[in-house]
Amino acid sequence: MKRFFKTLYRGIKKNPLNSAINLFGLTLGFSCIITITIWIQNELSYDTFHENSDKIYRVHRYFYNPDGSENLHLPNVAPPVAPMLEKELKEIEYIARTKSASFTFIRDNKLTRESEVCFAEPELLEIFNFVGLPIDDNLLEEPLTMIISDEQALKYFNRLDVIGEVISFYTRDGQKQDLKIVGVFNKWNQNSLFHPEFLISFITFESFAGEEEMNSWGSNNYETFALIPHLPSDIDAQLDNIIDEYLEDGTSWTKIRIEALTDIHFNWHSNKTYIYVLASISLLILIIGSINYLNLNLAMYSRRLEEIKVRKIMGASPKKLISQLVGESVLFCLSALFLAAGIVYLFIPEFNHILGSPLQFVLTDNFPMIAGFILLTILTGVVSVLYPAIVLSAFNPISTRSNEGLSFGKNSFRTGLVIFQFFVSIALITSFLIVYKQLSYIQHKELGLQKENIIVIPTTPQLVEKLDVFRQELTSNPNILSVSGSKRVPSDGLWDNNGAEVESDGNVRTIDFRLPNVRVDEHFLSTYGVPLIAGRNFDETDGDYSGYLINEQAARQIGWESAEEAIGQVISYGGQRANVIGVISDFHYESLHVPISPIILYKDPSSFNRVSIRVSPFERQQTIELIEKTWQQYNIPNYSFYYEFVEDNYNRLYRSEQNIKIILTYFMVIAISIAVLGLIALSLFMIQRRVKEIGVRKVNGANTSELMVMLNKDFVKWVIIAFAFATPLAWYAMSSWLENFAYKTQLSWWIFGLAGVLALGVALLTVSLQSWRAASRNPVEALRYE
Amino acid sequence: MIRLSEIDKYYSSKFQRTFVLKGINLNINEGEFVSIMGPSGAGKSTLLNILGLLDHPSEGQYHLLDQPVHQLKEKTKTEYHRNYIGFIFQAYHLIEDLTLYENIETPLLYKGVSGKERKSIVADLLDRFNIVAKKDLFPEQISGGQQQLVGIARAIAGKPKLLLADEPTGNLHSDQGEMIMKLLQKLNKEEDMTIIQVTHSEKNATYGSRVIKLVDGMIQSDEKA
Ligand SMILES: Nc1ncnc2c1ncn2[C@@H]1O[C@H](COP(=O)(O)OP(=O)(O)OP(=O)(O)O)[C@@H](O)[C@H]1O
Ligand SMILES: [Mg+2]
Repeated sequence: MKRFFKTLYRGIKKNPLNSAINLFGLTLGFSCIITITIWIQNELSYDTFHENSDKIYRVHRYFYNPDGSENLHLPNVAPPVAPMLEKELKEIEYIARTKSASFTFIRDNKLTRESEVCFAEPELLEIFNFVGLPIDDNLLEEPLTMIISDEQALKYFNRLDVIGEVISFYTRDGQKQDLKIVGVFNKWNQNSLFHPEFLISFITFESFAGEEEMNSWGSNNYETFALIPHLPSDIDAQLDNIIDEYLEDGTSWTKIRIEALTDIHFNWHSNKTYIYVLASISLLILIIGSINYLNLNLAMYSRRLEEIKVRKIMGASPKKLISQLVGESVLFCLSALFLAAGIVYLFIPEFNHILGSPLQFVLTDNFPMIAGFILLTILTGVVSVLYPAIVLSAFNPISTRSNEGLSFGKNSFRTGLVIFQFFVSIALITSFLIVYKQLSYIQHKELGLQKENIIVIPTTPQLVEKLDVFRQELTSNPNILSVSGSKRVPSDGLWDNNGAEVESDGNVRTIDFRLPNVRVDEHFLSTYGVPLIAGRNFDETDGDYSGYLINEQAARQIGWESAEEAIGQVISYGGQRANVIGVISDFHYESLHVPISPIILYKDPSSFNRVSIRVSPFERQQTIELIEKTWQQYNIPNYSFYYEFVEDNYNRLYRSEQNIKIILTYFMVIAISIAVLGLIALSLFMIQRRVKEIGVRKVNGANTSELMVMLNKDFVKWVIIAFAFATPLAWYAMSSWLENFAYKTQLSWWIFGLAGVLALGVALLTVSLQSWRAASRNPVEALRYE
Repeated sequence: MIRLSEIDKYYSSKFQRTFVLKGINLNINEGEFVSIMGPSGAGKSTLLNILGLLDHPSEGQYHLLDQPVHQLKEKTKTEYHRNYIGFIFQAYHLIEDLTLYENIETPLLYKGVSGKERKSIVADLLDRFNIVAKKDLFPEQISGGQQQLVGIARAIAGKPKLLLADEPTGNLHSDQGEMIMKLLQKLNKEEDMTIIQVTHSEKNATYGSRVIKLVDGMIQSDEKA
């Protein structure tokens, strides 16, 4: 054993460059693998901490177009669904509706905005793990009662025994209401779909919302969870039967489905494809690192050939030779693994910072992962040395062309490995360029509205009432150009929808596509800079629902030939009849992932939640302060103010793509640097092997450039072959990635060319540095001593 | 043809200069067959390398074919290698990955000789040295003497005016050595090739017309053989 370490140590000492390059490649490879593994583990860990995690399901709703295609898939359902399922599906042990909300709570005259508020039926407490609640069968049964997390108890009261205390809030019509705390539970700190902080009894909500809402099949706003201990195998068929029983033409237009709790994060909030792709790339990087290791090992061994030859003739057994080599290699890989673990440990906070991820690298409770890594490492070590070891021990010491098996450039296996490295690098460069191009396309794409310099602030019913005065006061400042109220703002989703009919010549025709609404006031178009194409905008005299604006897309889909034709037509939207008064030009309300949807706009101040303010780009800080000050005057004192820029919201729509770009950049840089280092060592070795030949050729009249061509030729050939393989793959992968976007950049040929040229450039630069040194060297040095 | 005046060659380390050649003055005329002899480390190879433009002197002037070599650019030196100088090495220095045929052809390629002409020159040489049957073998597959024959064939393929040989028979049996020496003599006589060889053997020196003794980097004697 001692001798074993000695040999290993000598090997490293003899070839510090090779050893460093090997260590570098393997360490980075392992680092990528570890990081990705932690990431995947984190993704899979969501919602697994409940006792019943594998028995909890969320109820979903699907809608279908008349032609049977899927129109909408919602993770929430209407209020009547839960009672219906509870009655009809005997396998359900508990089912609970929830409705999330955001509240401004009042306690000791202090107002605090809370977004993790949720109305919940009492059964929710049986479905999920709530630890620390008092033993009381009636929790969340009474109106105006709630349970809160221990963290909130501390925040509001500085103590935990707060049962019986109250926290108040203002209802929409300005009434102050008390909520009585009936329990405190331990906050969920694990990865979870939601993080309840305040759970208010659902019955409270029912009394606010009214019976009509509670019986509506159209209000799909209730996240509904069920505990089903034994899921029947024909669950889908049963659900379809129930729907057909309850609704006319039921399953032809809508269906109910359930989704396992533990799948939800992965299906809805994560991107499986990205995870698979990134996992594969990190594996590729490990392979690239191993290839360096394998190649350089081969190179080193071939230098030791003479020694091995002699040893073999003296009777050394091949077995012992192989086990020494394999042992060395495994040990070497293990040290790379430890280094990688250290790097990941140090790098994880930075990684989280860049990607906004919550990853943690905890080794202690992660035995299977550690075992997995060690196994992978041993495998890497064995695989990357097995081939050279076998070649070495199998070769016949008295064969005439002795180093046949180890001469480079002729050996297709090793040539293949180098080509593979180039292949991965080129594919990564191409993908990076295309992702980069698409993101810059998104950045620069005209959206049909002016997203810059718009600040969005919240509003309350009190402010909406005085919106005109508020607007006048603000716009008297030269830096505030325009103020508009609306329910939601562009860059949000088009979540509000209603049924629509078009009347022409006394015929009523139902619109058979989804026509979502945007509820605004007459200042919306000017604030967002959306051009009117025909007709007129709303004006002050228009009442709610007294006229409709539609976009071009809506006019087109309804079947009106021109914008002018649409003016004056009658639409009945959600039962409200009115004329189309204007047509606006299409703009991207949603992200570029989806095509521009038809929309209908109408005035509805009672629904307003937001105020959009167009400001000048100057003195921004003062402007924001002014807005806040003015805003406070029109609201309940101390109501919490916040603002956001529409432009930021638009950028946030491409967050996962931005993350992909960042990760891809890292991966590309890592892959290329591993490949380049490998290339340096490899070309150094290959050229060293030919030093004598170079000298001889020089003596025979070769000049430096002829020699460089000779030395670089092989590498150029390899890059070209790699390019030929990488291009179709990258093309295929990236065109499927671009399928995610309704609006996409072109896959121009020059991107592929550029990637190839870059790879060739890097390879040539790397190799030429070595070959130039060799070719311009005085040949005597090579030829003097034999 | 060759005119050396006050040639020094030294290697400088931190504190001192080690002279390998010191104050060498030497003229060699076209058609001479010169043998350089001397103890190991005397500087024979260094001198030969300087003569063959593989190394440059530290001081002094070297005129080859009346050109001041010490002032030549790298490019012109390559031209000299292509057209005027042939080299034979003690260790043969054949290119292992090339066949014997290709080895002999190498200098012609760099010289830019046309394919047809190359074929006839190489075929001629193979014939002359009696190795036609082996032309497709690799260097490792033939004996040392035969390798040296290929080395010589390669060195004279470009019809150099000056042939330099550093212990050409050092690795060979005496009868193989004798064959090589006879060959060199014949080249000198029949083709009027100027030959400079380094040798340790008195006997080999007798094939030439002039013997120069080098000791400690200086010429000790220079006489007719
Ligand atoms: N790069 C160098 N740096 C320092 N000294 C060198 C260098 N190259 C050669 N020498 C020295 O120059 C001296 C002459 O070497 P050279 O090879 O010319 O001797 P030689 O006469 O050919 O000997 P041999 O008969 O053994 O071939 C030797 O002492 C050698 O150590
Ligand atoms: Mg010598």
